[in-house]
Amino acid sequence: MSGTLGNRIPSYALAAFVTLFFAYLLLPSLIIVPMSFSGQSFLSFPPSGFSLRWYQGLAADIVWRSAAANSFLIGIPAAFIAVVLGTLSALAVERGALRWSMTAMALIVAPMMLPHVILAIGLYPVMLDLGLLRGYLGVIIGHAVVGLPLVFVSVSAALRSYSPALELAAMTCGASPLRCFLHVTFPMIRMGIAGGGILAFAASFDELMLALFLTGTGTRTLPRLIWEQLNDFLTPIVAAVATLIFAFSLLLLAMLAVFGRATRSMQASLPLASAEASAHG
Amino acid sequence: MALPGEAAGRRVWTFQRGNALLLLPPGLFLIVFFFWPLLRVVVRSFVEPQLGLENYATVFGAGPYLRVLWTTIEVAGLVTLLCLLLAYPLAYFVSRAHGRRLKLLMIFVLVPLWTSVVIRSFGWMIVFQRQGVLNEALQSLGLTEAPVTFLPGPLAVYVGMVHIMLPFMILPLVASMRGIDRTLLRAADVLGAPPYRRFLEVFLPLSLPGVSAGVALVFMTSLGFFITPALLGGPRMLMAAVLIEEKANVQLDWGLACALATTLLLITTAIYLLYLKLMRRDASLPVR
Amino acid sequence: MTSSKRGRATRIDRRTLIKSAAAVAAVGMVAKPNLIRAKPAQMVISTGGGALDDAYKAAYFGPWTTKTGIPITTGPNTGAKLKAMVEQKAVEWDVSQQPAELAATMAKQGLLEPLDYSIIDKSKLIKGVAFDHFVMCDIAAYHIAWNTKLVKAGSEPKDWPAFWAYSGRRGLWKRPYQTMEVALMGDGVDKDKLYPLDIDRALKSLAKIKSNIYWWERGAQVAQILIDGEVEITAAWNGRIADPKKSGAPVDFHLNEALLVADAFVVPKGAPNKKESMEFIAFALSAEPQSVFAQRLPYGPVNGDALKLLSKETLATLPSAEENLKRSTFLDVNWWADNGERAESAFNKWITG
Repeated sequence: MSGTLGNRIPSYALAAFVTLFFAYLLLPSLIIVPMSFSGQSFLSFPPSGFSLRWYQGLAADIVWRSAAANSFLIGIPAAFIAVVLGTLSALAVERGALRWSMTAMALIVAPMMLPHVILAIGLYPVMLDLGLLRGYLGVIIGHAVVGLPLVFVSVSAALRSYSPALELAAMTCGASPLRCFLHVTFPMIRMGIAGGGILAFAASFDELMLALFLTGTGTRTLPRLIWEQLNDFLTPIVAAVATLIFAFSLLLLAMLAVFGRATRSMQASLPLASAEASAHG
Repeated sequence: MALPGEAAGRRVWTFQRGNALLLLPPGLFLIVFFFWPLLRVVVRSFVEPQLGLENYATVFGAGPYLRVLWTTIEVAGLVTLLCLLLAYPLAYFVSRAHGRRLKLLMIFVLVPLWTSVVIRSFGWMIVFQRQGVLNEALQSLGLTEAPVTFLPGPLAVYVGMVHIMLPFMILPLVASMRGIDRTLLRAADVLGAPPYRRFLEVFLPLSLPGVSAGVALVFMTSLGFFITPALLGGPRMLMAAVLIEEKANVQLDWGLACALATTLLLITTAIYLLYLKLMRRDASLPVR
Repeated sequence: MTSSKRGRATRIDRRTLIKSAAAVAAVGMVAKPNLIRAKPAQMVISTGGGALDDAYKAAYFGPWTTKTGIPITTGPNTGAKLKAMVEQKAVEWDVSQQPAELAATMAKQGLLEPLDYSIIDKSKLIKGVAFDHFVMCDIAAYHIAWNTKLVKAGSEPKDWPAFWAYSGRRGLWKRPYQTMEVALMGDGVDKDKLYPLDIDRALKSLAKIKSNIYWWERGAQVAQILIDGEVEITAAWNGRIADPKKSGAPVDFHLNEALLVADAFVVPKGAPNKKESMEFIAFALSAEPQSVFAQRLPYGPVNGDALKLLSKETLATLPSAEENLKRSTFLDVNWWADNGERAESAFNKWITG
């Protein structure tokens, strides 16, 4: 670690900053969890009384469960499409020597700047004409449109963080473009891809308007149910849902961390992973 | 038989050519599922309720619309700045971690993403109430005697919005900072550069791609802020997304809604292009 | 001109082309084609969801299915989606519940089927609820509410001028609808002489108390801020306040000078099973289902006979009960359909200024 900046910055100041920062990030979750055990039918903190009735309500309520399932069934494929297309577009713009690369960038990020209700109004007739409003296909595509720029920007940054000379060197040494991508480019932009994919999934998971327009009438998603309660009356059941998702995501991420560690150490033993190792010093 | 150098040159050429071709699938996808719908939206802004510039006259007229568009851009800009200031040191800290520690830190960064923005905004409401957590803490610490009124107001709303946007800033920053070749910093150290110069002249320029990406992501996502400013912000904080949703969904005035959205898209695209020009000029020097 | 004409022409072409696809995607789910139609295999009714949806299921949808054998699928009632479906001639909904002022706007834009009052019995409905293209189905109130811990019993504002004269922090909805009406009443306008709304006067009245208004945005929010004492008094909807009051929260309300707002049933233009849609509405507006609904949610029935089936205690909480009707007034949905943009623009300009 010698030679980095950290050892000259007072470490206690940085530690205090980081602690406060994470307290800030976690505070809403920490407030929401106890509210889900409230004995009352409205949200309050600290909650008065303790009961599991909101969780029992959830267990008995098929609407909430199917909404949660819907949100995952839509979010995962949408994020996947966004990752593939967003990464392709980032490679093309950053490594393709395009003439109008700035214009291309502005066009690719444009979906982020159009309010969802307007995109929905424009997209609905197109989807209808193409016959794509079957099942979740329409909304998956709609969410992929919104998620693509997130991946694009994230992967572009990763690509810009190191010199294309690395790839050129590999190519000069006779690596095929695919090998070059898999063994040089991909390890370098892996975090950018993962970050973009996570943001794209999160965007889909919390999206309301496109989901309303592009699914059949019977389909409800979590944002829709929460929205209904917001106009009506928010009960601790929304806190219970949030708590379960919170716990689930922690579990999933913890599993990924364990699993990811295993694959990583395997990779480290392979000589080709050394590009990343050397880049990180 | 070609000389090795020639072959390499051709490879480079096909490398770039081949990469440019990668734009085809996402390009086609966006043309069908974004630009074609967008065209319909733009056309509608000129033809509903009747053909003409009426909707744009309303947007640029004496009503509240320009002010709302401006507020939206201003709020998005301020949120972006706050996120950058908070996230940069944190991302630096996170990017230095390794192995399990790195993963743990990233999990903490990602945790807020999984809670609905609506629920989080409601959570902040409960924090900032007069009988809320914050006021109780302030009073028990003896900092205030009577409850302070935070709601609705700038502190609560920016705390809420920055919280939503932080992961969008931290992720690209960390990705970019982890790509930085630390030997360069060591080299600067060996050559006798003091820490502030190592930071300003080596680390900061190398992290600019991440800064640029984070700023773009946060700013553009912030333009769509909807429920958080509505729940936590004061009456002046009327955001474009709220107004456009109201026009589209409640008054069914789609011509005006589409005109507002088109105007917002044009203004922000212009800002983005300007920003790209500035960033490219600065960022391209040290990297390439 | 040319472009819009061309657009229309291609639309028709495409329509025929994609008819089969659309039929599979939307209509096919709803009903078998007209060949074998004795009755539709199911009906689709869109609602606001939440507690409203539960009450509709208990009062209308369940009994309707029992009576006719036609199951009902429910879903979100997004206003813009109705317009999109009607424009594209791909209507999935047989009936939709909409806020009455939005229904009036939809009627004005030609998005709704005219209601068939030979099937729907108008004679039992209370005055002012039946319109050509929509009919109100339950009546709620925008009224004065207060926190009983912060406001001493007896000192709560009795009417809107008293609400305006109150010195504590008060809540109002951050929208022009309803808020402008109560602002005018607060300024002394008689409840029966509100329309046409004097927009300037309403804004001037609001300006007088601007400094201590808590502008709330959503139904769940007004309940929360009142329960937690963030405001001492507020304008609110009775459906938001009655429930917490029942479950012991420190809130109370009255219906004096309440502004009556309503949900309405509409049939989107081109709905797949028009006859059954009308029959469903007729059924839902009949006395028995209306009274069941009113026992589940504090929204008043529109059928006069339904009121006779309800207990005195229930009636006291219902905005459309005779006693409460007398001291309240209806929001003029057609005024808002015609003047909404003008009023909203003025309101937003004022509030952001």
